[in-house]
Amino acid sequence: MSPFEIGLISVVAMVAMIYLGVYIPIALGVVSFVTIWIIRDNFELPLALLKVAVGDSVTEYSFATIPLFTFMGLIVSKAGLGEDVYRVMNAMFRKIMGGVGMATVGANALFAAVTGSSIASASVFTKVAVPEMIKLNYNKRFAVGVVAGSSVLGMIIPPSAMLIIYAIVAEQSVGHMFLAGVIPGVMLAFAYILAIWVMSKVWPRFVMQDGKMVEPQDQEHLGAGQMLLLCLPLAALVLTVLGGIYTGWLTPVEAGAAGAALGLVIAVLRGKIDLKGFWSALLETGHITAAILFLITAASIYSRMLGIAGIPNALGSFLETYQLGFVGVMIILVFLMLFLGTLLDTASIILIVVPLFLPIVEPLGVNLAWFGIIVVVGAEIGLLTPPLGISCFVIKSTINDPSITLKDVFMGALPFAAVMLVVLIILIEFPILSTALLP
Amino acid sequence: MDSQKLSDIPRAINMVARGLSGLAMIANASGTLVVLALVVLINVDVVSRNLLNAPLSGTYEMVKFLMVMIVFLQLPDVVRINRLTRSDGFLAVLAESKPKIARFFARLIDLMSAVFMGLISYAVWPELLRSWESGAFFGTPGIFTAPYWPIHLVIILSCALSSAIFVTKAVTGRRRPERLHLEESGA
Repeated sequence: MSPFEIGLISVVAMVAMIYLGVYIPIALGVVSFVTIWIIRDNFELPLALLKVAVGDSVTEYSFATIPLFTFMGLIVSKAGLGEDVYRVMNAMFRKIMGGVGMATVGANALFAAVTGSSIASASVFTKVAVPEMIKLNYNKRFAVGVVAGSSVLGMIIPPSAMLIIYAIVAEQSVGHMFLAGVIPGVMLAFAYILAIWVMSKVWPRFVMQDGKMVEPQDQEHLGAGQMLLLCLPLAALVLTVLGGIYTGWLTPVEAGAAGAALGLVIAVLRGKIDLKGFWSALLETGHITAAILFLITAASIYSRMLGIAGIPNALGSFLETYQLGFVGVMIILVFLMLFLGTLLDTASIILIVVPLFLPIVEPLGVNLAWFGIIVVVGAEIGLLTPPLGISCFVIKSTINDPSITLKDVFMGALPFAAVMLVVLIILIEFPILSTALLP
Repeated sequence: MDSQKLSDIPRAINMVARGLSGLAMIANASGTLVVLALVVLINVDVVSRNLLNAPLSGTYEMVKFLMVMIVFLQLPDVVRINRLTRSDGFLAVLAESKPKIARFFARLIDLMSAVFMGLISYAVWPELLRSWESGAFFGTPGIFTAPYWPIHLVIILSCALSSAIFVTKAVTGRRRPERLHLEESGA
């Protein structure tokens, strides 16, 4: 067997192992180790690669962005910033049909600018937006679907853990990836709001039970000044983090640390955090960081294995012989991500797909920041699709209402997954949307 | 006499498992303090550089060092509380119809994971010997330097402890696949 055949078999074996339930970093590491051992018929070589991968992958300065932004996200969730922007958005949109849904999307988009995780967004907005929508006679599926769909914004609008992970594997600047994510993220938020508006016109039964709207009774009146005041802490955080990176005043690592400190000050001033909450946020940060970085370490062994087996080169010449060209590569990429998205989490999809495709798209002269946005958005669709959509699971476990089943969450999220796919196609077609803000 | 010995074995395994868990929790608590140190260090650097015009020397190297500490001090605890990323939809479904097979698979997976974590320790071991003997350091001489050996030591101990925890999981098989649910991976 040629190295290429062995390599191909090992990729298939790896995906099979992951589906069987092997820990993803272990599957990546074990398969790569054994494959290199077989191809080179040498036990020392994979051992040496393992050593280098473990040492190098972790000692990278930009990796510090992961714990810092994770910590910032956890702190601002505790500080109640999500609830505040939701109140503001709700006061603005509440009178329209589907308005609470639109408010949820808007609040999620703003909240996403200070968190890097969909999990945080999903759990915050399940608690505040779903009960309100159910009270106002919204369709349950719509209510949970909106929260699931808009929680995805957390991972596209910077700062985002997934953009950081892509930046690491593709050796791009974290700051550039953040800037590249701004327009696509805002675009997706507007696409959701538009989709809700269209749904309330053509398919009111999906939005409202019986297709009719109930006038909210306890209308909350917020003056313009009050709205501004509620948004102030969030605006300060966004300005520090994204403004700091955009002007070059702060590196992404420093912006993360400054954001975390500022978030902590806000939480303390509002009395929303005690020592126990502070410690648990630190603890959670450590766990998430270790899990993600171990995954990245394993993925770096895997990408070396692909190189040794010559898979990216062979894949490239395969695409060349069949004249598939750029469009063909993109179609294969999107289908592969949708397939993997049925069972894997976003980080794992990015770490499996990027080493395979980067050597193919790089010679085509495409912008790698744009490619990153495509990969992240494509991988995110998997958060909403059954049988395994993490956002949907989080909502189901947060909601604590037996009358809403997991199937309801998935069915409600489906229209939003479709909107994402449309946005993804637009982003592929118009790279300028991702590259416009890059210096 | 024989039967008494047999009942002693599970008890001994339990004690070992508890001891290992304790070690993982201690490492975890120290790793958590390192996260705090990271936040403080970078903020002090940003403030002193911009307001006092006096950047801390060696921040860059310290950050790298702290990252290794965070990851490898937390890793055994991540293994202990089953937060290592996995997609266990298949195992959960299998457990409903064939619980014994599912549990066998789960043990096999933990055993394989133990072997892999052990391999990492084994691979890094010669590095530790080398860095300990040569006194290799990183950073810029005259500004900030730190020896390499603590990094190698932490990696080896962390992966060995993770491996041992995986072994106890495989042996006791206490984790029920039917109760698995997808744990977040920070995603």
